[in-house]
Amino acid sequence: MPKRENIKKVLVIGSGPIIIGQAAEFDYSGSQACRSLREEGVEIVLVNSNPATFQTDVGVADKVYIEPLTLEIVAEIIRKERPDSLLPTQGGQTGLNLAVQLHKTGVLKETGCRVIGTSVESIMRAEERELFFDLMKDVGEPVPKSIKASSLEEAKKGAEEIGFPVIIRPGYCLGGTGTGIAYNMVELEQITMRGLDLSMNSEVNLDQCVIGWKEIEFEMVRDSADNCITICSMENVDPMGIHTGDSIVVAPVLTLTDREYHILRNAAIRIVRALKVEGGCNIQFAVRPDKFDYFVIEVNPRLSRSSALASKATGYPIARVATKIALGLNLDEILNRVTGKTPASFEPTIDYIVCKIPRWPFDKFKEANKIIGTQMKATGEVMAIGRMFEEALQKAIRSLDTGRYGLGADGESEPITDAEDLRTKLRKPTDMRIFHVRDAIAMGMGIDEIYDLTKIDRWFLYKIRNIISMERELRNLSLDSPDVFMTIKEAKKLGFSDLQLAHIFRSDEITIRELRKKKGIKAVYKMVDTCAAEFEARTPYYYSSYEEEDEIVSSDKKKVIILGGGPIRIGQGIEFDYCTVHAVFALKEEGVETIVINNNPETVSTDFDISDKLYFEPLTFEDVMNVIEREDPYGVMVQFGGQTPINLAEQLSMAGVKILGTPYESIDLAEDRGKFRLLLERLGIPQAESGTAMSLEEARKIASRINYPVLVRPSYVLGGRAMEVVYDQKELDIYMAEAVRVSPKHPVLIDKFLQPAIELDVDAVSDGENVLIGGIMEHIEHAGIHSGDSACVVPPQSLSDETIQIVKEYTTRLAREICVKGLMNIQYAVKDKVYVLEVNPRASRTIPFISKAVGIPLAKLAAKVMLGQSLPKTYVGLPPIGHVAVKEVVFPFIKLPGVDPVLGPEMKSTGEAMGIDVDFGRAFYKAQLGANMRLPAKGDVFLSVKEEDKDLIIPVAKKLQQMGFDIFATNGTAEALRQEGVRAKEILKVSEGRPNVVDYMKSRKISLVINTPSRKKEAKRDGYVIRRNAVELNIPYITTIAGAQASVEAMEKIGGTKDITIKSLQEYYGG
Amino acid sequence: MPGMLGALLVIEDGTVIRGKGFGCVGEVVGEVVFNTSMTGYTEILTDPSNKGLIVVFTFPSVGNYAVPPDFESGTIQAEGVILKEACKEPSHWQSDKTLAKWFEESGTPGIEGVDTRQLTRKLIKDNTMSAVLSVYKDEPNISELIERARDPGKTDLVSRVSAHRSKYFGAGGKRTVSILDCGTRKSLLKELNQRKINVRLKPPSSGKKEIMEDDPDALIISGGPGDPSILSHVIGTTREVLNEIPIFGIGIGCQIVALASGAKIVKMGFGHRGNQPVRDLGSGRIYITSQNHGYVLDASSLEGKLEVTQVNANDGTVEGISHAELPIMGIQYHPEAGFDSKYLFDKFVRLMETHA
Repeated sequence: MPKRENIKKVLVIGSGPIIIGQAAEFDYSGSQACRSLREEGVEIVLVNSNPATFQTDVGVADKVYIEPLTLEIVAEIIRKERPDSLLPTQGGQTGLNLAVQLHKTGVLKETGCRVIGTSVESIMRAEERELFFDLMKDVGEPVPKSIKASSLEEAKKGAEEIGFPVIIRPGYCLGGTGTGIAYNMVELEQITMRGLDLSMNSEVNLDQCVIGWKEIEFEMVRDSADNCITICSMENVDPMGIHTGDSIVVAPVLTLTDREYHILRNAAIRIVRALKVEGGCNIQFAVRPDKFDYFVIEVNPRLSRSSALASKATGYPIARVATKIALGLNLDEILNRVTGKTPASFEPTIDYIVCKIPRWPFDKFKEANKIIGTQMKATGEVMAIGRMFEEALQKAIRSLDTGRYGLGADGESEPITDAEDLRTKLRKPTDMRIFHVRDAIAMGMGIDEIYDLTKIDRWFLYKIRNIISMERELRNLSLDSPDVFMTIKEAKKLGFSDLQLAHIFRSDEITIRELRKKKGIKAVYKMVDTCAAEFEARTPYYYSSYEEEDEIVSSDKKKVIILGGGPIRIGQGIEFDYCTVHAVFALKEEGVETIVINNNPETVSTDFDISDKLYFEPLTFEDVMNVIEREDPYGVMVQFGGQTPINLAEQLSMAGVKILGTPYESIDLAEDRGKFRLLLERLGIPQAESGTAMSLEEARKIASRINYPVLVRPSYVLGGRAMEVVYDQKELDIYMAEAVRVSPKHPVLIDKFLQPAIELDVDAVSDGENVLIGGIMEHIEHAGIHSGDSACVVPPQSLSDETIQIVKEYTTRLAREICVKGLMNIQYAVKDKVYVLEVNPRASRTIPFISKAVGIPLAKLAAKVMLGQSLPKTYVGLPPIGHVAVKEVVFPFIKLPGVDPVLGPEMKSTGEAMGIDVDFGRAFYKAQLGANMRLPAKGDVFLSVKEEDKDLIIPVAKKLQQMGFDIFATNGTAEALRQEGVRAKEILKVSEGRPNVVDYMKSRKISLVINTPSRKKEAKRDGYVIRRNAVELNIPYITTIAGAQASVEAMEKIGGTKDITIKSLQEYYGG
Repeated sequence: MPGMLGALLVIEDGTVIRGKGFGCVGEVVGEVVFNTSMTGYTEILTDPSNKGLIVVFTFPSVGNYAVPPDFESGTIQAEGVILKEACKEPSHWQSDKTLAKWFEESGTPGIEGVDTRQLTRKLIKDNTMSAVLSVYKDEPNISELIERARDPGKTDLVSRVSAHRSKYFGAGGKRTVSILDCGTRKSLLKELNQRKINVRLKPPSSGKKEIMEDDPDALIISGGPGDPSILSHVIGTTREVLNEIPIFGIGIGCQIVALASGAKIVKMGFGHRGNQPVRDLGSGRIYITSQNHGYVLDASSLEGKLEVTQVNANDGTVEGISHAELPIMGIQYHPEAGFDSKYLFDKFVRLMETHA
């Protein structure tokens, strides 16, 4: 069927802020969808609240709305823009849920907007469990026993019918939120209660438990002519019981027979046809490991994390094809871009093995429960490609950027040898599971026993054992042994890194590298081509392996390698992918050949037709250097991918690689505290007093010299890892003992904690002489809250002109002094004077936000500067803006039981939303809404603040009272309020008995919680319980005074979402 | 290392590829072809159509799920196999036999540790070539191997994989189909029996008389190995029965139907082996099919009433034919393998019913 001619204007809904379960993959699918629509000449309206996405760039869609993703607002956009069609399947569960709501509330009918691609009816049939079970019954596909319950009583009855263990899932929830396995009635009660609260429709589903069965996924595509193909099959190394987002996954399926494979493929086709999917669909199966039997577990009739992985694993652009199908094209009418001549109506075949490993945030949440299970906890993932499973696995481990260089043998951890300890750890898997499996095999535990404990298919266990055997073989040799290099070559084929070899041979990375190169042991590059070499492919998409033939065709053009950011994690998110992609486009505009190295399958930058060449590789010195040696580029850009590539700058620079833009010496000058301190002293720019401690003694001395409170942290960090404010020596001692391993190699930095102070973030581009200040972002929260966790506003709301002048001057001087060529981020604290906190000569996480707020593509300008160009004259100084933009962050607390949802110097947020409007109040309100916090228009507010905040809360409480809110407070706060004439009703603290504040919250009597964390022990615990309940009950909560002040201002401006007006970025920029 | 076998693949153009040997020590000659399937190695290796071929699997790890009993014939038919990795520690509840053990038992040599992607790229560029695969304890003389690879000799592969006398497979049905056996796969019998069709397997040497005397309701000319043009007897028999009985040609059988009708066959550069998309010209639908052929119909040579019904969606080659007036159909791939093309048997049954 040819393209439907009546589709002229399409609304694409994004997925909002990055959260656990919904990461960069939807920026990738949405961006690809937009490009696909553009190719067909369709006008695009895009809405997404997340400014860090590439898809919200004005170049991607004709109208970009960075607005909260709520039913009311999207409905407004539809009424204003009048798109004739809506493409709902590119924006994850968020986009899908919105489409269903728009349909159910009649908005689509009212506006004559139709859903293209998979219909809302089909979506509901797959999403709503009862309809889904009916569907499975119709097509004769087996599903585990399942019962729906909307009360605890129903759940108990259901569990008796199904039999324990049962899986409990809340209805319509993201990434398995609230899902749990109950082995008994007590657990059933706990999980059900929580699930009922979390569920969008106040229902939970109880399912028969198939823990330990193989978890297999199929990515399918169907068109409206009923052509139906499999794109990729995937196998979870961690079987049923661990969320697929938290599982190591391989592609293709490796342990099923052809017969089993076809039984599942046929089932998948039947389901996709019965559902009338028009586009992509993911189907999950549980397959019995000891006989022919399977269940259909889940059907997702949309693009997903798995479809992004399948696209990158095969080279088949599912989002692009699904979009064309939505426009009416059939699979055989869509060109396979990889070959350039064959149609998209084929099943990709691959001649390599793909391994995906999740990236968990436990390095940031020491107190979190690290056990992985049915609720996803990973923030991101990496993918690696190899010709052998062992190779793919070890490359993936290196890609995680967790300081590991393979499966053991890297000197980074002592293997566990205690069998009982290992048994416990294998039974209760954590993020370290793969290493525990390794240690178990290494200490001699039998494969069958490990299988019984983990249900990881023996095939994978044998392969892991193979890696250990190779390690042993190597350990029996020395670099002088005859034929040692034959063994080293075999080890390289199994994915061993030079660093692992260096560790084994007690040598160093560079020596091993040079020795093996001399022996001709070098990586070759193979192409990802969708067809196992059957057709001549034009995909410039490669992976390394230690094989015979290298397929790279190098050009003589001027080329630049841009290093990506690796997996999405706290502190290094999608914003660095945005910057990477912008750098690519900037260089393309300049006619430079672009080469991207990255390993995150969720991202836009790893879409093979973004750059001229894509290398899907770990971002380690060895792997990056291999590409550099093969390509011989003009230079390498390390500024855009966050700290991961910056950390490589020194080694690359030492190896003679040209670092484009700001040179390594300047990076070092900014990152080396000592050198930087001297620089500031020389320039006469104020800074917080500080010192560097190599030992506990030193730390104590420095702290007492500069006076408590002080900010302590290890050197060279990303996202404020292990950073804390300590108020006395006792706390300092605890920190030094528990949080860090201090040594001369790993010193601890100690800064005077400036409090209270206004914190500023400034992003700038400099060519070494001219400086463009993108914007001065004023943090809402005061200094002491990690800048990545603080809301911020541009232009600044409370700074004097004089302060702004000083900030401009300091920024310009620092850029020149440090010789910044490219991007620079400076953090300031404003108290009695303007202090410089730190300078980062690289892309910061606020680059996309500020670029969108002011309408200037900073990353792009920076990339051009790094090629040696001067900043255009029109882009110097601080450009004025006529509107206000607020960034608010979102936190993963809901997914991480046990974590206290307070803000501090450690970064904890996963994503962000932007609110843009004419004034601060409105913009702030939108930012909160975009971050899924709906500030109430009426109801009861609970206030409980620490001693120091009691004065400050009074004006907030007064305003709330004026707006008609009833104020509730615990006795201390209530007393303080009443003295100032606020009618505060007293309720009990958690520790005071019942009914207390949590009971009120649970009975939904509280519509907003303002609780600032106290440092007193009892209050601390009380506060924790209140905040944790707010998170789990989804009650808006605020934990800082500044946040409360801003929220009240916003609530004054907008008495509910009805007063929100919408405007596209194009309209803002146009004036 | 003790017990390690050496292996050499010597191609007619002089290319020598070294690897590790597995399976049976010995030397085999055959055409080197690549197969892009990611699963199904037992089915592929036991497929009679692979007689005379040394198969390169593009998928790098073969033997993962041991040797399940999903055979298309009694034993391994391919002359040898070329792999990146022959899985040494398979894992599956149905079987724990390694690929090496299976190859050893069936007397087939295999080579592993080969950059199979490099070899596949070479075959794409230089087309299918003859080669000798040698698995040895003492290294053989390479120039002698090259000579052998250059002069493989022509053999009648069909006679090595087909029935020598009639065999009957009853399904208790009303209809009986005769199969002119060029190398029938077990799953073809299964498809027919499942539809309550009795099957009589006839040796390829059967003439019109031997076929018609059983009074079958239809004739299937099965798939099989090698060059169809040397099967002059089978072509002759087919020509004689074209007007007599509904005919379904599968694989080489499809080519035989075409040759019997005066069309031409051409050797393909590197064949279709693995999953291939096929477009049905009648419905416009795309089907993913399981293929294994190295020869193809020359569409321009189709004379008279033979028409193209299906083409390969990638390269446009002929994948299906039918006759405008007579109940004759031909399918170039394996309709009995894979879910998408099973409908063709229903179509065949209808064709047979309407002409009964």
